[in-house]
Amino acid sequence: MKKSISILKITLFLGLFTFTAGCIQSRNKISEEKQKIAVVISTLNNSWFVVLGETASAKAKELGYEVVLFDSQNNTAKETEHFENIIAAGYTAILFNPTDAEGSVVNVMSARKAGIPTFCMDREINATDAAVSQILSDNYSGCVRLGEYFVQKLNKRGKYVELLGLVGDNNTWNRSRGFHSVVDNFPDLKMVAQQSADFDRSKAMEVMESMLQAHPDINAVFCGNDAMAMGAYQALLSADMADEVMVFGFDGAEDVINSIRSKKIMATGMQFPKKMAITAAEYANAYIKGKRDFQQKVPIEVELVNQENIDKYKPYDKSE
Amino acid sequence: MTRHQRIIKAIISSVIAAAVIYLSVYFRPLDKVLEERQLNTFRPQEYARYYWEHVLAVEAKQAIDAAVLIDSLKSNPDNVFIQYGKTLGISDMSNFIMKGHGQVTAVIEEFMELRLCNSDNILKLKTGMVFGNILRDCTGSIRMDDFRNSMDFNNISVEINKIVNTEIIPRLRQKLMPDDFVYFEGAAGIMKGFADSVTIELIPVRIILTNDCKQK
Repeated sequence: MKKSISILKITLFLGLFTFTAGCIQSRNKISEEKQKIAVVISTLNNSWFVVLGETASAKAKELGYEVVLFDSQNNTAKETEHFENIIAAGYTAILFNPTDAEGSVVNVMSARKAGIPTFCMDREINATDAAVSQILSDNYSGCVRLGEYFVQKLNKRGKYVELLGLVGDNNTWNRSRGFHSVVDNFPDLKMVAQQSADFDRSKAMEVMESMLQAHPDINAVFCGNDAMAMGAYQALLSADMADEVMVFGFDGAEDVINSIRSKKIMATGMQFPKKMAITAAEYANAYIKGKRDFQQKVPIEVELVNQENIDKYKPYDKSE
Repeated sequence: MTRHQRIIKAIISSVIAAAVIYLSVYFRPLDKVLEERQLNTFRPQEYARYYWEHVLAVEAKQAIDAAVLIDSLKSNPDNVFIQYGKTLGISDMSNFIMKGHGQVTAVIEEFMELRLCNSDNILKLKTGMVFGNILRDCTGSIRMDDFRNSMDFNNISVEINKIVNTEIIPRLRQKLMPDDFVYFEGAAGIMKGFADSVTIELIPVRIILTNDCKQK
């Protein structure tokens, strides 16, 4: 009798143990399943943003998360759709490259209300209470350096045109203002045209072609990103003016770094997309693990890359 | 409908119409509206002037001696960057405030070369146009997080630089000659890894002509 009671006790104990272990395991499995990070990028039609998105995804995966990469195609409505899906699917965090400084705020706020922390990369949103942190290039200072180099290369005189990025993006204006904070102090440097080409290579080529028809005597073109610099260079090449007009970009993208090396483009501002993406992923990981005191805006230095110091750089980064 | 009913209907309609108009339009004094609008508008010029007079000027007076700073940068740069450098975000460059006495040894196009008193150290005193954020960031007291967008934050630099470019540098160019002795306060950006090999380019905040190395 006593023996059969003991066997019953052991059986019950083992049953309870198996049940408890099963519960813990299944709870762990659920919480593991929940550890998903969304990487939302403004456009994947630009190699610079591809590097930003892929680096953020790779770092988040390395930190143990399941990652899905979303392309907003430079469309705020598309971005809103992504956020709705991300919230519905219960992601743990969002690494976010916004399409619009004002228009994207509402999406980040929605995520916040749903308890999903957002970490902005490269592009700023006009709110300091929505994202947990914004890891941004110091565009203004980078373009101050480019402006000083521009003045030096043009010997303080000449005519130039400017290709602006997306007008709704703060980066566009921070770059332009940084550049003009220097160049506008030299009265013999005259800007004869300024137009947006939406950070897009094809649009930049079209805009540059029409600018060259109206102003065939320019000495330089300042572009708000490298894609536009390549488009502008293409237009200059077609007009047989590539040797006479200096092209300045901003980003540190592969084709421009190669073009600086082959002396086709004068200079660019090296942003560090990999550094930004890795920092954002690490911040998200720290947040998930309990850290809460984050600096709202974390600027990352932009360095001047020109034909004199090109050996110190490679696409999107410093040389090893 | 009787005449009496028509009058009542007209009165009720008038009351409703008056209520709708009254509730949809309201008047406020113009000066109050303008005052509120100004409060919501960031004014970088005023901000920069306050910072220049009440923050930067005060910190520059209490800054480390330039000769001591340069010697320490050569012997223990990591410690100097931690103790005295102010860095914005993630960057290899830090900003420093310093003061000291020196003698003008050369006047170059955009600089004056300054030999520090009782020291072999040389500084480049900037006399060309000043750009960038060194003066804004050297005290570490202006936080980017306090600004809704970075354009306001950057406009502070534009206005601080205007003060130096219009009030300090022209006087410096007019007054200083080779062999002059000066007391100086200023700020400089220094890159990590290059601290002992590059001559510091100092942006002047205050310059006073002196008779010799010690007199202020």
